[in-house]
Amino acid sequence: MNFAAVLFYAFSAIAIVAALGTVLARNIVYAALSLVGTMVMIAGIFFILHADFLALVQLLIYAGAVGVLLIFGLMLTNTGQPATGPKDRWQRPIAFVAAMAFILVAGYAAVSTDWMQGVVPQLERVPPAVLASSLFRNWALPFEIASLVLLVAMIGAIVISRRETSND
Amino acid sequence: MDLVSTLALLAKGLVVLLIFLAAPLIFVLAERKILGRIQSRRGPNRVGPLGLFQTVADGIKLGTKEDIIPPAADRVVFWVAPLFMVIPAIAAWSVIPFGPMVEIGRETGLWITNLNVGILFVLALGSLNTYGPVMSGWSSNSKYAHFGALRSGAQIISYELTLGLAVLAVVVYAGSFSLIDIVESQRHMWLVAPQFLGFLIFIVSGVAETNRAPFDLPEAETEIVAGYFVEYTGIRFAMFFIAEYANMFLMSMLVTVLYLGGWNGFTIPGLEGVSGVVWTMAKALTLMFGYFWLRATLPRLRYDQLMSFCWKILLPLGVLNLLVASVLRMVWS
Repeated sequence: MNFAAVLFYAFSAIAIVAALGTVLARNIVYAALSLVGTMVMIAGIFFILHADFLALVQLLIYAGAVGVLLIFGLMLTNTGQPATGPKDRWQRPIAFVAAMAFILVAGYAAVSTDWMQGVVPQLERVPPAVLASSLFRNWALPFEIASLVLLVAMIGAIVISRRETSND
Repeated sequence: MDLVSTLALLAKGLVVLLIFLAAPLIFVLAERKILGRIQSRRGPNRVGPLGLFQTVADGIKLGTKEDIIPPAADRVVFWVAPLFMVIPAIAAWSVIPFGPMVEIGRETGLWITNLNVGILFVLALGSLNTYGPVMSGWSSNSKYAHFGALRSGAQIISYELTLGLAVLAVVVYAGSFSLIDIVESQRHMWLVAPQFLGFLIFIVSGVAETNRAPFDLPEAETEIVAGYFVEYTGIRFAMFFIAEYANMFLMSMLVTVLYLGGWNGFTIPGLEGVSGVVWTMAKALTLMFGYFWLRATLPRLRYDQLMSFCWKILLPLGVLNLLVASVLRMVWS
């Protein structure tokens, strides 16, 4: 087992533990911090796969901006008390069925996928210039449409938050 | 990787670590001396000759003080938060070039690694810098710390944007994300000349990113005591200091590398071998002096002024600067 493989298993293990922490933690700030941990570990896996640019964008946007905004929102609303047990017990059977359905579908997908076996091919480091030209030449239309969707979401958020303040 | 280059890498890492740990000792003393002079005082002058050992004594004092965790604090987060201040601050140094390629037995660059996305690496670690203040502020369970953390989080996110915009214009000119390539591209002209607006935006955002006066609202002594690290004592308190001064020095090095030509400069007679390092350090230390000068000169901004200045003035200017830089670059090439 080489160094990259050791790192891969370490990052993956921490990412999985942190992801479990996100779901299971009672304290909502712990959950958010675990989520950030998962994102940082995924950035680490991108680094091992020689996708430097992707790794750093993952750090900048998900671990940096998104994670901080999440925790920021929690800090503004947090009462300091961890959430107590679930109130709506009738939701439990429905949640169980939904979770089972998801596990079934995901399990089927995992089993039926033709996983690549054996030695991983030698990966090449893609220079940012190559990435940029493929993004802005070959895939310019989807890229621009994605930015339009984000713009619409942003304007929507502003409209919703403004309406509340103009009422009073 | 053979043994020699592994050893060389280890040696470089050790040197950077030493700089990281020694820099706060030197800079805190320099700041207190310079502030003293500006305010017609002598500054610290009791410990050792000319007061030179003042910060060493302070360091020993902080190291031997009790490490208090407030009873209402969230113990785990309170304990790890200072580490989140220090780790991004030191990791960013791995891509900073101190000098050109030199001959020490073999050809080697005076940097730890030449990442082809180096400047993005620094920005990404800069965005992780928010977690230290936010985690320490939240876990302290104190109103002052809470306010400091909120202010710091909002401020760092906002000014990270304008910082990134200014950097993008530099990348457009240099045609590379690598800090080494960026310095090489300034062999004939420092980027501060074509990118003067970007230079100003970067400096202002850099001061705000490092939470320094006149943008030091997260730790404004006169209103919220010390902000997010108000509950910390001893060595954990020292970690915040180390991170702050290391980040200031990092920002000065970045301005040097991005705008002031890095190691470029004429060969200094008598210092042929190391003139690149001397140039880099001279530029960065001058910028550090600028930091101290700002603190002595300018009053603190009000918080809403700080935010509206970023979003309503710096951000449009940054976009404009990037647009002009891109158009000029397309016309010239």
